[in-house]
Amino acid sequence: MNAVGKQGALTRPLLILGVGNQFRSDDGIGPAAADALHERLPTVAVEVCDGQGVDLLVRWTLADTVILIDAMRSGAEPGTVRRFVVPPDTIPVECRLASTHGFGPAEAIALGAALDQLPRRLILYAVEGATYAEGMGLCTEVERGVKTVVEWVVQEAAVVQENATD
Amino acid sequence: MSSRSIHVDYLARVEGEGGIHVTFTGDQVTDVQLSIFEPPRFFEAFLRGRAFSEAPDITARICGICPVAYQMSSVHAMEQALGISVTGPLRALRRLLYCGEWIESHALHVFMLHAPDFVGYPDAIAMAKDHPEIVERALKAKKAGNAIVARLGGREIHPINVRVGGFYKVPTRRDLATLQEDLLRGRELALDAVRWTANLPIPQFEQDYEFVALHHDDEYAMNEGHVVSNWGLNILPTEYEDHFAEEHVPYSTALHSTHRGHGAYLVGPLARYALNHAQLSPLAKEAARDAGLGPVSRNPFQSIVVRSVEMLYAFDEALRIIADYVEPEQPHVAAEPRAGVGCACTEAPRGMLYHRYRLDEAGTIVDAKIVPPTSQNQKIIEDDLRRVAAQSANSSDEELTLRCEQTVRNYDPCISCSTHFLKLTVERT
Repeated sequence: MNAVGKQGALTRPLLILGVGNQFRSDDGIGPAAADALHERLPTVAVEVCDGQGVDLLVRWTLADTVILIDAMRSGAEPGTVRRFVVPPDTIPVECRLASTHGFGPAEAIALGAALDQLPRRLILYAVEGATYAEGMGLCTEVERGVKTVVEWVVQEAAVVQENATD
Repeated sequence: MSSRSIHVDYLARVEGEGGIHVTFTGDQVTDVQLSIFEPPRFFEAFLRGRAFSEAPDITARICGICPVAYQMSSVHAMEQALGISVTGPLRALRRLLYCGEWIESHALHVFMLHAPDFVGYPDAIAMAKDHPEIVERALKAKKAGNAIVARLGGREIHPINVRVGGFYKVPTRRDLATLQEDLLRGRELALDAVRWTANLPIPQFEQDYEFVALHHDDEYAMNEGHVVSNWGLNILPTEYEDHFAEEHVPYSTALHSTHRGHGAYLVGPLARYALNHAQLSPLAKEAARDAGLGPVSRNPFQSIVVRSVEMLYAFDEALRIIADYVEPEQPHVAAEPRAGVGCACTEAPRGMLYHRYRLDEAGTIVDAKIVPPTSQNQKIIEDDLRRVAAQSANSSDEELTLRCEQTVRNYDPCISCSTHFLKLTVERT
């Protein structure tokens, strides 16, 4: 079901964005999760964002709920999964997400808040990566973290879709 | 004698990781280093042994900000090696794709990366709280540029529809018509941006640069032309390596380029504008004149205005190409492998990008050379820093640091391309 959003355009109830670069090892967490979710959730918009953080703002303006999946470098064990709901959560400083031009998902969220251009509900799943060297493929612990995220997002998407049809 | 040093460990609002180190002895600047400490990425070695047809997609991964530039330089170089040329609507579509990237990149830099320096904010997020309209302009302009790249390239970033000889699939006239509304709005917004940037507090700082850019008699050069300079250089891209050299400096993982026998030179919007002003559209020329720009600007702090003029031009040119578009009969011309060498320069948003490839009979890449714009501008950036620091020797460390960072951002450096970048240190002894 679509609804009319802030700017008067039709919004999608749910958009899932996997953020990252699959050619930089564990930075490919977001794209890997998006690939898996694409198969598991054929009726949901699942996209990969492998470019500039600022483009997230452009993409999420027409979605009611956005689920972002990204790699983080917080010092936790590789594969550790954290979940934030913005608002009320804020992204902790130590939870560093990958970025270009110093502008990644954390900055996009801060800018979206400053401009009042956040989706109604923004959920971030961050998975601790181990290496960001050039190359493809995730390390074993990180793969396990991605599998966990995929399961949790499938559950979360079911709730969002159910609420949207109420 | 007292000494002073200023260090910026990680320069913000640039792509990649690097730093600035400025040393004073008394009032004299005795050392300036633009250090790039990101590890080199060995793309040139990575290309060896791959098929000629893979170069556009592999090189596009070098940068998330200017993948189209890498694709364009690689396809033109390959086509020269294979003895084919792309003309008519396919050539026009490539130019349209490049317009999309110029819009995306210039909108990001003008409004979000460079503007905070002029209006006194540490970043776009802080600026957005007081001036949301500035950031909203960036997002709207960028969206229109993204739409062009997505339509022609198959997706917004790292396009996948470009191939040697043309495209995998070409758009219909109707496909392109859907872009028009956003481009018309974007053109107005870019016109406002030229007026707005012209009124920013621009520091007085003029230098006698050697400007180097592509030049084409019939169009504002993007994909093709001679490599020319305001000091009399006029060569084909195939002669590039006879005239330009790269050298290693110990404090940087990126190579420095020089014009042999001349030294540092400047590539990017200021150079293009100075050498190709006559080829701008009437609207862009008029806007530049109204903004107080002459046909040449030698002030790098004015690059924010020139970049806005180029953004306006890119909107104008994109609309012209869409209006004139005739669907081609084939999406690409045949590209058969053969042994050969091909070179090309195209104009990335931040300056000229050179590619050279050597192929064997099977079309396999034997060797490759890539000279990105940020490598070419590194020496000029250091020269500017030296002069800016000397002018500002009596400023506080904080003021000097901000001015030095702004000086680097004048060039919209992409350290991902030169390798990745930035931090400022000032040392006073």
